[in-house]
Amino acid sequence: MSVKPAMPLKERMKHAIADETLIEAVKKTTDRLEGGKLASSEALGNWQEWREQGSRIRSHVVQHLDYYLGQLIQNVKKRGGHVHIADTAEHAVQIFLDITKQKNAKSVLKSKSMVSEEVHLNKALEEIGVKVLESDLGEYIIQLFGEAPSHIIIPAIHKNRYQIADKFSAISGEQISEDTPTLTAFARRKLRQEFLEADIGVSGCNFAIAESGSIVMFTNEGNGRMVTTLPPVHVAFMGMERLLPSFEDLETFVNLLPRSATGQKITSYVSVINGPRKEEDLDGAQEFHLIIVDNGRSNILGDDEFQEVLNCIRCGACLNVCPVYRHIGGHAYGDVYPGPIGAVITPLLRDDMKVWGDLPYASSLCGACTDACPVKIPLHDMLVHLRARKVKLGLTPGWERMAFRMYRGSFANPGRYRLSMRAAKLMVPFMAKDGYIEKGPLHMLGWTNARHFPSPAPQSFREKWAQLSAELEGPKGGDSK
Amino acid sequence: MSSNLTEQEFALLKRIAGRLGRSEPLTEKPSRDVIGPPDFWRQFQLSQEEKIERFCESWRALTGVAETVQSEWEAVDVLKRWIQEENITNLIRWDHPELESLGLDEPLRLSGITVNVWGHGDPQSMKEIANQAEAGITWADYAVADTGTLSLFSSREKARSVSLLPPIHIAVFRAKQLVTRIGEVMVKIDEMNRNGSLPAGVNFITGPSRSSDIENDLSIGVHGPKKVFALIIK
Ligand code: SF4
Repeated sequence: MSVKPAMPLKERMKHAIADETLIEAVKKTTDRLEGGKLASSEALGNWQEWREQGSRIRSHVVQHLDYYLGQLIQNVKKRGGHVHIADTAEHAVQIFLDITKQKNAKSVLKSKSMVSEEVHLNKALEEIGVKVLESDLGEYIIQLFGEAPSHIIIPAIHKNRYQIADKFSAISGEQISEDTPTLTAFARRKLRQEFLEADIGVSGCNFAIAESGSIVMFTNEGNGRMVTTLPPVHVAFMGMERLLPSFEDLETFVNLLPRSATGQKITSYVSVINGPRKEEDLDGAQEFHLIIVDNGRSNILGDDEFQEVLNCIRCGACLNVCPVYRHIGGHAYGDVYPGPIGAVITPLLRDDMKVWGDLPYASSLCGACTDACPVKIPLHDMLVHLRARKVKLGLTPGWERMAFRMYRGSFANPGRYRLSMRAAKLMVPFMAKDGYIEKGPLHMLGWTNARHFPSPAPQSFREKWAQLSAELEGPKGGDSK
Repeated sequence: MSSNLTEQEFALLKRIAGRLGRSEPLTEKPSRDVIGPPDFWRQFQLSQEEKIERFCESWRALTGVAETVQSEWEAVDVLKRWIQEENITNLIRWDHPELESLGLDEPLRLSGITVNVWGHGDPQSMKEIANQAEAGITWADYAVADTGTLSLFSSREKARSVSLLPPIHIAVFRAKQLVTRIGEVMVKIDEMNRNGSLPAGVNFITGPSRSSDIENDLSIGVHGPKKVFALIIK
């Protein structure tokens, strides 16, 4: 896909850092989610064993994806569902537009789906004049603002209640007060009628069960249940890797996902949809479509460095612990998936290091994401691999390549190394203040824009070492007795 | 196995197989050594009394109301009390034999409450009736003690709308329907699938509908029920 972010990463970051409301909100939310996660995973006990189990089940599925996907497709059909394969984002959208046309649908109601966001479904529907509404409260809010989600789990994390109340008041023509119950009640009223009248309900799919042809959704609000129960047609979007062999395996993820995402023991609703309603049933969608989306995923398969990223269950835990995400929020990542998972998966899905290759630099490589991940994806290793890939492709800026050539030159030869250290020390008095360099030369500028760089010690380690060993060589310590 | 796949479906599987180093898509079930939850978790078992206690504790932790009764007629008393306390004048219930034999409808109707039974009446308007009802009453298929979760299987008589649309959901079940952990129900669903009796929808419900989307502030009842009640008959 040729989609490009509106601005380069640095610009996006500058915007984000200037937005104090955003930073405040992101910090508060990520703290809460992270705190909840720690408490609830500790309460469960044996957290590492759970992670290990989750990681092994997911790896097994991804390694045998051809089998499980084949099994799923056949079983969905056996249950009377329709299966569609979308190789690209455009393809996925086209399949959906065809269903809309075929059903002569005027209104589409969605519950949260990252994949439909990934393929930019809403825009396409609006273009052909089909009304499309997000029903997840957070998604509904940001849709009203015409913005994109900024967190996987709490999409409207960057909006405060006053902004929301103003928006609700504007669309209803009456004054809506900013307390949470009033705002929630307004959304409930407003969306209930839409649920009852919508022609098509769209959902995501947290997991599909290969053995039964079922899809499983985790939601807290109940909107996932609404869109699959009320409209006559239900369409589910699914990333092609989101599979589990059987329901028995689901137990591990019912425990891992909510704890990692929100710190809940379990999500309020775990809904299992086994195809369309039975003939004799009186509610539930009459028609069920599953759109299986590749959109770059198969490129990642078979790549030893990155295959494991397909184990991701989109819990958002890596975002909450990431010092960079906590500072800049989700929009700075420029695409649907923010935080460490976004920095890894976006360049891979887009298969374009030229445009997206700067994302892996939005990390401090502290490894907090890897520790947080419930399925043990080595995210920070992948970030390093991606950086290496960018270097290999010759996509790093000229000055950076030159600087590293210089470093290599001086570090490889003791004489040159000593010389450069002495040169650096001579420069220090011109740059440092109170032991810190506040404005770096050249390539250090990026660093010193945000924080100070400690100035080199007056005495280098080698000089100190020489002095110490001279002292040790001198009168023996034991003689002083 | 690939016989009833479309060309496009097969092409995807073939592409995947190729990336994974296979010339043809795998058609034989792969063997595996990890299934389900970790081993230690399978050992987790509570006694009947502990299950009741744990369920109520978890259910209440999420603002749910839970009570235990010894008999059917005691159950009717509790239900009547709840319905009165919540000022319910119009409700809908599943067409379930256990609920039927409680004999709840008559006493409620006598006190002026409209009792709708799902599926009795014009099928077109059932959805609207459920949407208007102030409470929905179901009979849980299973309940999970560990997390305080109800499990409801859909059918013609056991509509999904009844536990979803009204602002109050009341679920009744017997103590023997309690299991310790959710995996026990998952295994039963696997069995139902294998013997061809899987319902169209299975819902696991833990507490009321909730959201924290506005400034992290917990709010209840965005789309689903705001209040949930569980009644356990011993
Ligand atoms: S990478 Fe791991 S922590 Fe991040 S969203 Fe995916 S599963 Fe969660």
